[in-house]
Amino acid sequence: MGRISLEALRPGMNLASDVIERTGRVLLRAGTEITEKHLDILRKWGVIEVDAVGTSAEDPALELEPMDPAILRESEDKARAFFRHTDSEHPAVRELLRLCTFRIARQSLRGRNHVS
Amino acid sequence: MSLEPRDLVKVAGSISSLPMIFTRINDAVNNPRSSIADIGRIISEDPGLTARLLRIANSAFYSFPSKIDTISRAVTIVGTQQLRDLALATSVMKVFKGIPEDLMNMEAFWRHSIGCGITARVLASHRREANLERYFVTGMLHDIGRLLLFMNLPKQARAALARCQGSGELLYQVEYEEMGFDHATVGSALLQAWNLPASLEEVVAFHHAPQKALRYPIEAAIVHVADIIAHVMGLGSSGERFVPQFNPEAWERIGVPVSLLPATLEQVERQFHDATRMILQDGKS
Repeated sequence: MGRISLEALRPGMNLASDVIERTGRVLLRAGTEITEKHLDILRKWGVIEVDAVGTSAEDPALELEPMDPAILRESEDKARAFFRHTDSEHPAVRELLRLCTFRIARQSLRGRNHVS
Repeated sequence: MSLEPRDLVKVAGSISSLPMIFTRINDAVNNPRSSIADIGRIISEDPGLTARLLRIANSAFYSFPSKIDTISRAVTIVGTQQLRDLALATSVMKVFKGIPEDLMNMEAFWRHSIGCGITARVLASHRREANLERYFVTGMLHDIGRLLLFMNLPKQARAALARCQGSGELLYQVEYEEMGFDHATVGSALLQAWNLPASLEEVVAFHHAPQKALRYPIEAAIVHVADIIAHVMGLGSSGERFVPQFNPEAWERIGVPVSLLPATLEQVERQFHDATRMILQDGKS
């Protein structure tokens, strides 16, 4: 449960709170069970995240890909070296470091180097 | 002898002015007497630009339900100021030629620039900002000063690159130490010489020091973070080998939640391939 991106929202999930457009208009009410049609509406209105119930468990997209821990460790070291000039205590930087680690890991699995 | 960024722009010769076509579009957009048809006519005189703008108008950037096949329709739907900014983003690439390949791979440079532009555009869309193309073009131009350094001070630029290779320092900090100014200041001086809007000038000047952007704090914060994300994603290269320093206040100013970062990166990733193909295709020299 919590705010998730529209990409992660799937039919069958429920809205935990109203989806309100910038002008104050309610697009969808809390408790609505999401259908393909709702997804379409949200996309057309440019909604990027919603508050949904029952998310990560049944959503494969949100699960971490199973990754070789050795590759992951190596990728994290590379990412940390890449981030050496920036303060990694900030939550946004921590998140970027995490995302960068996964990108490097995926790329090294494909046999390419991210940081030259 | 100390060189000033302003002097660099003066000796720049061929790049001291923007392509004529852009200047004419810009004048028409700024002239309250000119009509949408006038602007469309000027754009149509340049077939390459026309093709590029139509490709962009029909891309994932807009995802309009029907095909936009004429410039006059694109002007109506995308907007005159927006089209002007897109024209700037794509015509500026033609200005820089003859930069030694060992100093900078131009394709990599524009890929980084486009990556930063798209990221700035996506971040601005999260904030529901009005003119997204202004963010795109500002992100696209943020490192333009580096090209000027490569063209006019190749010796110093090469020395700065070599020093970073060995020491692992940040290039923009080394530029400052070696020359007394960095690519951000140079880029800003160039945009001023080109008579571009003050917002571009300020944001480019302070993309590594967004706290100094007093008139356009949001724009500067967005481009600052967009540059960092483009590095994190490894989109192209501007010669900088590390993630630039992150300014926490700039992040707070944008007000985008951390939880939105994965989706933001995905969105950028999806638009990036499309955009680089559209823009680099015939922008190549």
